[in-house]
Amino acid sequence: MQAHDGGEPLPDLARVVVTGVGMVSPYGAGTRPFLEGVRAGRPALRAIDDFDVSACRCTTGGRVPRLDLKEFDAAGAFRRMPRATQYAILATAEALADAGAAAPIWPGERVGVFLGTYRAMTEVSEQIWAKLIHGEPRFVPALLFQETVTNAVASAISIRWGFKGTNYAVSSGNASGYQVLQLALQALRAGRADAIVAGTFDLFTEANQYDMDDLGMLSPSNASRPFGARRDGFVMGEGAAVVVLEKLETARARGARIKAEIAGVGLAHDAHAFAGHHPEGRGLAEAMRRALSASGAEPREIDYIGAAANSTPGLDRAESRAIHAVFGEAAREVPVSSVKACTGEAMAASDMFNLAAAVAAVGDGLVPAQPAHEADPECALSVVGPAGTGRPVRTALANSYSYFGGNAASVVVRSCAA
Amino acid sequence: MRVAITGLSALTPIGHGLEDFRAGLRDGRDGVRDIAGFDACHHRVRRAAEVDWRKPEGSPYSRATEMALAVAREALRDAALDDRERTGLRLGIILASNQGGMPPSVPRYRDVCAPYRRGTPAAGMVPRMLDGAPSATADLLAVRCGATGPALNVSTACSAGVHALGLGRDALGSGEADVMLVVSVEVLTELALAGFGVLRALTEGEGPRPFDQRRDGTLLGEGAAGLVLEDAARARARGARVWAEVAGYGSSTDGTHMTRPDPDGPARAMRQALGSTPVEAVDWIKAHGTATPANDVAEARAVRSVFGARRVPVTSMKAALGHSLGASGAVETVGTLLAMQGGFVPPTLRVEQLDPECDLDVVRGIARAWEAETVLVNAFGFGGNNASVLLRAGH
Repeated sequence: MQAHDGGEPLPDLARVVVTGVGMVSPYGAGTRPFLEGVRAGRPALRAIDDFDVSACRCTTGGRVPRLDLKEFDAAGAFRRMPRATQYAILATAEALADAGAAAPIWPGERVGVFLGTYRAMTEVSEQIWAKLIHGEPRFVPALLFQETVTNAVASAISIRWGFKGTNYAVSSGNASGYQVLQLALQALRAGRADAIVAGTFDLFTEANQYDMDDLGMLSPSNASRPFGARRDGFVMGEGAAVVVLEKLETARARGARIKAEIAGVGLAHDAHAFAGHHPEGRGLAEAMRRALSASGAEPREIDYIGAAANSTPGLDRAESRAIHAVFGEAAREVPVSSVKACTGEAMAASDMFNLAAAVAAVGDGLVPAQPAHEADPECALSVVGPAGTGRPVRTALANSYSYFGGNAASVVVRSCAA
Repeated sequence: MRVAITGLSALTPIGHGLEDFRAGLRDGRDGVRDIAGFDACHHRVRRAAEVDWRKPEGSPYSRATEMALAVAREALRDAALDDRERTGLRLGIILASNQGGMPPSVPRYRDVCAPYRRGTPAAGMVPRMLDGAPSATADLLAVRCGATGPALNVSTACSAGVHALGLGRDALGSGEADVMLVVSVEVLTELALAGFGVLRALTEGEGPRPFDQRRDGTLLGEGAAGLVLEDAARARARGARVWAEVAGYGSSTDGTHMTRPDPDGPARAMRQALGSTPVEAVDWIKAHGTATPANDVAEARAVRSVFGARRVPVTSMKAALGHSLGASGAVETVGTLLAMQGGFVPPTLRVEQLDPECDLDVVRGIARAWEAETVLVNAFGFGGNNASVLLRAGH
């Protein structure tokens, strides 16, 4: 496999496209309620009521609402699975149906499942530690332990659909989603798979809420205002989202409805400081440059930027500076918004929410909006408000940035319409 | 692109550093002891293969993360890629670990984690809290090594250490990085000890007996390893010593059951790793060989289905090293390369009566003098994840 140096369009053989999208988000199951919500700039953030948040300054979150799982699968085995696995399975079922692949169309050996996550299976590990702390090792339920491994979710998808190609479970902090896309591009271009189910999942628990609140990361005013002048921290979000990826050539050959092309992914690390990102967004700027170069796109071709900004003072400023560094004067003009205004900071799951919104945007031109709020002159971006943009979107850039680690990623999404 | 391994390092229960580890393998040293890292009195099994290594005094990070940093430094030094030599290089990081910097024991967990810790965490506690996230160790490796390329943790249970080599190879192939540093680490935790305990997957005897008729389970171990990967042409151009080339890589998923292995999946991973290399060219198989009743028989069947009548020497290092889960694949790859270069195949400890169901040429007793040029390395894991890599001697 050769490096793509940019400038030249990729041969069809190397082009990878999205043919299906599925998710479970703070709006519930399904991509449609998510798109309707974020495009209206209507946040899915609510008072957290399923655990005690009385000792936290921030008491709001983007929790996934209780879902009617019985309707999807009444089997006890499914209903006993960890939430992460249930959500990822629901998202995969939607994405496969969207791709016209609800019934098997590829040999199982030719389908890979690549998932990314920041918190992995902490919701399960916490239950086991509670047994060890309050009880004894022998009280740990045997069937629970096997769910602590990060790849348990990918395995469950493999087993459910008989996908026997490679399973990867990776973590690059918040940037895990686009890291997974890059691995999928490599596998598809090398001809090692016919399709990849690529996705992310991240949930938050009571302990996570208290950790972030104790660290002063969460919004004491209980609001998510990416790039806003009064932003004061993030609100937690959660969910799972999945895309089905195939090569353009084979997707066309089977008559699939092609939603968008993953034109290029850029990955970079700040290599700056542990538990922090670079103040100027050095890694993110480099990731955007690499994504643009890999896709052969010029900054002026980008019609929309799906931002990673999560309403923390530092991360949003760093992303704004990185966008200015890469886009120059155009940075003030290109429409920008962050879905985290509506979903909260869902860590790696946010990557795929952002991607799903970008994929939909290059399909019908509608982009996520943010609730109206006072703009931060220091950010100097054209943040999309509830009125939308009114401009067509042919090519979008989606960003991802780890505020605790400096891992950055960016992806160029392009319309495949002639 | 041909990918060369140009730097190695290891911290294992039977040796720290390359020479010590190699001597440990050759001499059949046994790393299994009573657990010393925490009070294991409430656990079913109270033996493991720990690494006798303490983190530096005053470190705000976990012992696992400090072990990862130590092997990273050593592997870059072994590759003659110290700080000065790395100027202008785009370095990427692949970390293989299941548990990363998770607190290892109940007292440590209570110190660090909500809702058990007391009061608002002091500033000094913050790195330790964040170090528990799966990607944190990889982030710190990137910071300390100045790595601006991709940085990720691959956490595919016990196959992660070999998946990491495949991911490193792919990152070089796509031009994302000039050099990839693969680091693996796993420390013993009460979570894993309890979990494998209730699954009845751990031996209750003195230690694991891979492929033996009386095998009754695996045994947990600790370990850390570093491997430096780069384009073989680049390595030659800079005059680097090449330990071996990554001649093939395969990965597959059983897609049948979370914990019950199916020989078909491992066989597919091995065939992919072999590619066009005929089985006659393979000189040695470094088996996954956990010593659980189910794994060893499934692996033996998979090997026979791939190799047919061809009998190849087989070693499991887990009898001596214990099972270091996400780290094991990379730690044992380093052991394999050390043995290849030393002209021997290390023995599988504690094999007395080979299980007829595992009818393989298991090397046991003492090390066998053997110049292995082409070696297949296996790592299989929970969830039916399988990975194999084919190593070819570098000279």
